[in-house]
Amino acid sequence: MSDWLKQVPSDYAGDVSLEADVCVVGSGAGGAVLASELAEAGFKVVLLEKGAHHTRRDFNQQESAMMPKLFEDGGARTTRDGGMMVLHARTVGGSTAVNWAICFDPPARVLDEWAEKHGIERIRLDDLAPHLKRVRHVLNVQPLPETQVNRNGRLLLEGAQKLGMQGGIFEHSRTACVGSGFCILGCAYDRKQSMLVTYVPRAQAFGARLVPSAEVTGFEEDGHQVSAALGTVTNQETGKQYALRVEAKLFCVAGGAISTPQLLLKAGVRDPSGRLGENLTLHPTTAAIAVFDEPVRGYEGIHFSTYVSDLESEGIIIESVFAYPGLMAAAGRLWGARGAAVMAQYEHLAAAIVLLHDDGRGRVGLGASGEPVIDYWVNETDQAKFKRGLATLAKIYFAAGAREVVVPYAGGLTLKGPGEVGRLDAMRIEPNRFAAFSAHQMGTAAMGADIHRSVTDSYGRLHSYRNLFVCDGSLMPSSIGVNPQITIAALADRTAHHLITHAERYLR
Amino acid sequence: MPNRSFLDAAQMSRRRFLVHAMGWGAAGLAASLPLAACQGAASRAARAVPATLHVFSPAEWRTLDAVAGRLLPAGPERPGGGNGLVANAADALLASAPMSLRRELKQLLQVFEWAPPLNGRWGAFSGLRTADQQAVLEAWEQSPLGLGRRGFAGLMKLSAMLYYMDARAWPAIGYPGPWIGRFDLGYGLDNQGDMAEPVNPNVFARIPA
Repeated sequence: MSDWLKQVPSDYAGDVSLEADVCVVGSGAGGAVLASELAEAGFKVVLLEKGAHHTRRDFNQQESAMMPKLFEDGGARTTRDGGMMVLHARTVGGSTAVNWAICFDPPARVLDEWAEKHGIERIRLDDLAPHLKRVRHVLNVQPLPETQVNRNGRLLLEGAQKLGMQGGIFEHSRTACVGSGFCILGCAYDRKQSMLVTYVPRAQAFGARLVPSAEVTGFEEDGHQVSAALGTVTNQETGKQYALRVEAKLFCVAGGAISTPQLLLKAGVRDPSGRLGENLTLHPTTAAIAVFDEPVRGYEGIHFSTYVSDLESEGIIIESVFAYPGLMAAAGRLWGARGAAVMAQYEHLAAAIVLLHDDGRGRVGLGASGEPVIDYWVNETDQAKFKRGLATLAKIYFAAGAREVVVPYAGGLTLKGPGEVGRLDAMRIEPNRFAAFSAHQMGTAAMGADIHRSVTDSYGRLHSYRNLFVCDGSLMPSSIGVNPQITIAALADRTAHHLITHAERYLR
Repeated sequence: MPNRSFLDAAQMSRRRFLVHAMGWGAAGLAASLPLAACQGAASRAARAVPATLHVFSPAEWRTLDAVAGRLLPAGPERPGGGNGLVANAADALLASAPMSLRRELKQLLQVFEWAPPLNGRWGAFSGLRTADQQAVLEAWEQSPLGLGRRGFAGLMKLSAMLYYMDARAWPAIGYPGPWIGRFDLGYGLDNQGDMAEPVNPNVFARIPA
């Protein structure tokens, strides 16, 4: 017997030169779907991925080993001022390989805004519905069975219910999940239906060639079209790099809203709008930790299972999520005797995040060595949302029976009861005083009808090119407000079918 | 409080200052490193600098060891972050880090070592009494200057991650650790066995219209 998923080694010994109909750069929620759909339609597809092809056997469930392997900068990427951690993946499957498998359909009101304010064609929920249906089928999206909601998830719902608030259980992309809880370190049992175990092998089955450890750094242009992608491949054993060149009829960049503008800016592509890298949204997120008398053991089972939606119309979602010890202590600013005392109660801790549909915007630029430089901090509107979300979360936890609620704020901010929630108003939401992070990046190559206000057209084509597309979260003109993987996948399916329908225009 | 001119004089780069050092990746090699005797209070004797250091000078190692020891104090049932637990791991990790990052972290440690007078504490950080070290760290955490808070946050996150990623910190908090090595789900205790086919039948199937 051999394993169903064949690992593609990064054992390069010389330069790599390939020809294809379509060259896709990035194998995450956008790139993998696009590659699979085009390969299934009969096109010759090359799928390039900057990260290595780590598979089930590589995922040892240890933070110390997996974070450096699977995340950009080992998971330590931040905004320029260090104020926000910006988590995104560098591995085959992209961020879907290291997320919690949450599937939230896009809110209709956001899609309507994209149609009305930005003139994007065929983007309303009715238009996206068939594409959502297709990707939901392949990813096996289903509501999480109630039996798989762990105590951490239940406490959030119990508290919300006591306050008369609305909540629910997430839909997930999982099959026969064993509930080990190590999703963000790569699923060691192939149960999380990430791109790594769905659309990437599906694309390969239809003939697409996966090339891991392949970093594109520029393009050859011929008039208004791109003729080749240029870069390097890296032998993961020796660290040696070799030249990469891929000639194709069509190129699609799908590296995510940080790496995509990084590549396009480095490549010096023409952008009449001047908006490439601008309009960055991050779904800024913070967390609170609650201490209960009862054992919670939030590390058991699926860590990310329930949400409270009462504040969604205000652009705030509260989601239960637990963290491994290293992440919990670092993100929670749990240091000194106070921090040790909190961590000593690890089995009695519950945790949840406050995620914002951001009002503010940032940008991605290039550093001196071509690295992405991210400028972003939450504006006053979003600062108020953080306070409102944290206050609501604290009330929920106290209603559920929490003894204390710990907020990740300089100096330590521990609330001893609902009467102390007002103390949150005095927080100064400043970089490195208040802990914030992002796991969702969007908007840096936004779609739109106006060539002077948008980087790409309604289907992700850069306005100045016939055959250069973007296919990831960069396309979103505003943050989607919910976990975005299913929206990105559906948009990729939509782009793929647009390309197939108009192949004579784009693939000649 | 540290002032801007002092920090500028130390030539700390605002660009990507401790971006890497503050992160999870910093713990990459921590788990494989030996743990020095780490029960009870830190002492000068226990804080012996390793014979071989990859990145830090002995002085920088002592500073980080002192910082980590204060950030993650030892308790009756848990090791502290000092006594080499964090500093050795950081030194090993930084060995494969870009030179610019090494330089930035070394500069930061030098600032931490010599900045206590700016907080009204006379002497080098690693030589201060416990209460004074605590006060200096609190002052950095609450600094009105963004760069000061950033420096503290970088060292705090680096130390906390390296410490709690280490299995030796888990018994005291009740964290049982990974399933691999504890449970066999049909692929061996090491999880290296084969899986004949995907559990999701839709992966290779035709998508219904």
